Amino acid sequence: MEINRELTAHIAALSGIRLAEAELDQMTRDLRSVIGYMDTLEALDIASVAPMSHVQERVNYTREDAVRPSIPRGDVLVNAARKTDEYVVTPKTFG
Amino acid sequence: MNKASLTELTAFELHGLLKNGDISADEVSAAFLSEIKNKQTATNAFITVCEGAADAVNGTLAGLPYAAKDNISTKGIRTTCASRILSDYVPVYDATVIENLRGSGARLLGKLNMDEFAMGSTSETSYFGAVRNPWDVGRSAGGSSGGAAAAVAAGMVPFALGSDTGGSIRQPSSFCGVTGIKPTYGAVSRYGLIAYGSSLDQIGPVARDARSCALALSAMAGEDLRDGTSEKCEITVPAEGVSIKGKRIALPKEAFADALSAGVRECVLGAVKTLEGLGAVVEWVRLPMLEYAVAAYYIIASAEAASNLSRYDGIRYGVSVLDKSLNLDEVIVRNRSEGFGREVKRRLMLGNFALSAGYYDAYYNKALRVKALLAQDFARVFADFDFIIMPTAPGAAPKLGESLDDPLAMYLSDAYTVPINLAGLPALSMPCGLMDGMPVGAQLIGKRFADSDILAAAAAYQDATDFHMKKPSAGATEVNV
Amino acid sequence: MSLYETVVGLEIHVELATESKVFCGCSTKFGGEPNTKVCPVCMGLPGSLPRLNEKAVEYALRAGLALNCEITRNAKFDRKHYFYPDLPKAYQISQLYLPLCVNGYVDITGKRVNIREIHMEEDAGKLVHDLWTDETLVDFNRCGVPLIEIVTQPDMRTADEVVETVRAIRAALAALGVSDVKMQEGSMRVDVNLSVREFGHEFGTRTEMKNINSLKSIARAVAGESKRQIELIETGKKITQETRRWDDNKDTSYAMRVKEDAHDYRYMPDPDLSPFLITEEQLTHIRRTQPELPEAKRLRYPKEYGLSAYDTDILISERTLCVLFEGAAEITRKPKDTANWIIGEVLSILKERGEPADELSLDKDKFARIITLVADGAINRAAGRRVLRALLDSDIDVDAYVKQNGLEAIGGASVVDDAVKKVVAANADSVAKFRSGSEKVFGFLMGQVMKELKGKGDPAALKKALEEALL
Repeated sequence: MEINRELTAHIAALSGIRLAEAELDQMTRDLRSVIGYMDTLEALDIASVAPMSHVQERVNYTREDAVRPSIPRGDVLVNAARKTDEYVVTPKTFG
Repeated sequence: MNKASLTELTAFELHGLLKNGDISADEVSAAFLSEIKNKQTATNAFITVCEGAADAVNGTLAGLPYAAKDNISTKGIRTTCASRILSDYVPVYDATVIENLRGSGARLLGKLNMDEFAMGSTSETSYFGAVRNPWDVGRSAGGSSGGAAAAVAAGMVPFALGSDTGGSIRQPSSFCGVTGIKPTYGAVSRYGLIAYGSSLDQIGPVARDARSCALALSAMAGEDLRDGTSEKCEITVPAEGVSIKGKRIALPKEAFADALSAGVRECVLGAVKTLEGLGAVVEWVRLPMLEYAVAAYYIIASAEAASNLSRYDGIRYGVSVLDKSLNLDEVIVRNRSEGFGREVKRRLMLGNFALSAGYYDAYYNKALRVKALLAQDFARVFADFDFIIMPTAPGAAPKLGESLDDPLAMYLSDAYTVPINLAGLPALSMPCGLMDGMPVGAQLIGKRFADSDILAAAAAYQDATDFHMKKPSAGATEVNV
Repeated sequence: MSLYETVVGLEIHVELATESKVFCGCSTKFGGEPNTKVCPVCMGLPGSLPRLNEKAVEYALRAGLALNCEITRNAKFDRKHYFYPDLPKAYQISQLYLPLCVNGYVDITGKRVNIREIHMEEDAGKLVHDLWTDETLVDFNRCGVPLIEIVTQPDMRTADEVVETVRAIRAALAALGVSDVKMQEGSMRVDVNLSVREFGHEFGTRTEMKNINSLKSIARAVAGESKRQIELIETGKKITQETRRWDDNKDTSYAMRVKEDAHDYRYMPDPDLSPFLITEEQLTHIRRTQPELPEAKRLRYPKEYGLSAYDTDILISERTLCVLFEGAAEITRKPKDTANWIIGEVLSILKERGEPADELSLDKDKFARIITLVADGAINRAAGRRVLRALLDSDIDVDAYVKQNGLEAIGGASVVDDAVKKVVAANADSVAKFRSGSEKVFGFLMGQVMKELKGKGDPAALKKALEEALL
């Protein structure tokens, strides 16, 4: 897999991260090295093996439809950087 | 009994004294708090100390002090994940393990330093500075639960909670000469453990010996209605005179190949000899998928990390810029870029790469196939054997500053621990010798939910040896203070 | 005849009517103070974990079976990632790889609309713009309310077909009781994917339209967007694949701004939720307890109750009407009468008041009592209407109301006979005309008698007495 600066910049944008020019170069080198190592998996011909997303045997671990107390609104808002008495304040979505 | 000697006892021994009323809970807490004060500067094991947290009740751990890794949610006590972005985050709820331990009478003395968001193998990526190894403060305590292992090794707490996603309890335990267990995936509730790799993360105890680990784990483990991946699990504390006679132990050839340092090989094979001497039957086996585990692990763990950490945007909690002229995207990108350290960013990038359009099948899905094969490898061995034994880490604790510049080399050093998380098995690390004056650990792996069995085997080993009782020289933690 | 054909597929989000949210115990109740139905799980606090609500799965399965879907036996949940302040985890738990229900359909007049899939997911929170401070505020109350998303194939060609499809799906879900399906409150949200093409050509570029709040706006939005796209084509312009927001007041749509990288959702299986297997027993149980669907009622009503197809269609268009009809008919034992009262009286009163039929709540026992009183001649039809209006206003006692308002039909023989005698005596001319063969005047004489009885006479009894007197 060819890792270049453009791909690194694209992945950074997906990750919600901005990298300065120098960081971009370093990150590209790091990704190249690690992803290059991950490419050793290419040697394995295992397309017929089912992907295993969960190790636990247990299935259908559901809960009953019962209402439980919510937390006080103060607790919802307490850690927000900006808030009113009732709401979390979020930066403008556009503009 | 004087204060200094209290902090040298194991949690199991303290528990006996507390139960008999030979010592009081306040006495014990005071002794450890004083030791925390003495050793904090040298080790940097704690991020937050909770003095006077004393709501001891009657229970299986009544009066026993402990500390928890700072990625475990504690109501009203700052929980930072050793990250700038959560450096002022005070949770409004307790993790299930914290509730369980409080219910059994244990006292929380503080929150422990770690690699940022548990990403790292040396506890150097912390926003609050590196943890230093009590055996040699110029060396790493291991990671990511470096604070937990260092605090136990330095006698600052009798047991500590760590978390282990790819070796983060076992490897620092090995580097600091203590005993630590990563329980079976599902044995301990993850509710309140700030997620790194959700399919791999487990909380587990670190203590001086296996009996202390078992005692702590018995109060932590079990089904939790708030964690849909938790399961019923009972832990038995190993009895006196526990035996491993006739138990079958497998030694995987692949784990003793070239990458292993001679010193570690010697220590681990020494432990194998001891176990044989105690009546265990040891045979060499093959685990061919072992060599692909690191690649698969870093794909899966990074992908889950990228997903789990996408919520940190500084809006509902966490550190944020307050400039009202910035729009949403600018605020999110700035908070994340300034809030996460380099190693975290690296893994978020790796994870988002592996999940992004066009690469998902070649990387993420392929890694899940490797995981399936690896689990089959282990199942095949466990059809014939009770335990697998191999090194915890390829060497002893590295010098601080040696590991950070080559991420791939750091990832490869996790080769012995990550396969266990992928397969969801229980494994512990127990001290089995010294190499150039630094501790070395042997890793004992069991079948799913055989946590009590590996603890019993470790207890049998520790009954016959004294590596786990070796302590750093008193002077070590005072160097460079 | 237009050269162009409109092609429409729908994505319908429906909130399931569970008591608690899909992954935590917070209440799903609509409205209430902002940020009061929130917990660590639904606001995605670090370390919190989801637990699946079994009722949400059951409701989704009921919807899937009702819409003729195949059920995925080993369904899974996936995470869909994007940054937005109403999505606190920055991923939505949804289903991409193995949706719960696939390959269904719904039949409308003259055609079958195929359903590609129905998957489960969680709702997002609400952003509120404070005009005073010019700030955007977040309310997490709706976060984690269970949703199903019904995705149809692009099988519809006209606004009427679209409306009929939505109606049919809505009626089925309402009959199941799995959702309130209220478009205004947002418990049913219809997104319209629309493209146009010249007849016989390949599909054109499609747009997705959101913010459509009623059946009426669906029809207008389809017409409006179809017209806009045709104009673009005819003036040689290109149609952009985009999401547009329908503005009902201005009768037009606007392109919504979307972030560039937003479309790579990086789906992955959610490791926090254990897989769930749908067993044959579970499906059998659900099938056995599945409420009767409108389609079944369409067959049953004419057969069992002798209703016309026309009356049947009106009744089955709303669950509330079916419930009222079946309940009341069982008591009155007069299904046709009961249907007439609903269609002729109840619906016209609702229409006159501008009240939607899907919110109708009328006590079936009291309603049946009115029908019985009229049928037995204890009150006349006009009085019955008056009682019905009162019952729609408030929860009255029917018999007490009749008595208090003196609505009893005057049926005592002597009173009626006296009135008849009086009218016959006072209208000798008309009586003579009738006797000489002019039947028209009978009605006039009836009216006079009724007037004499102050409108409270039982028409049947009156008629009989008058006929006898005129012999």
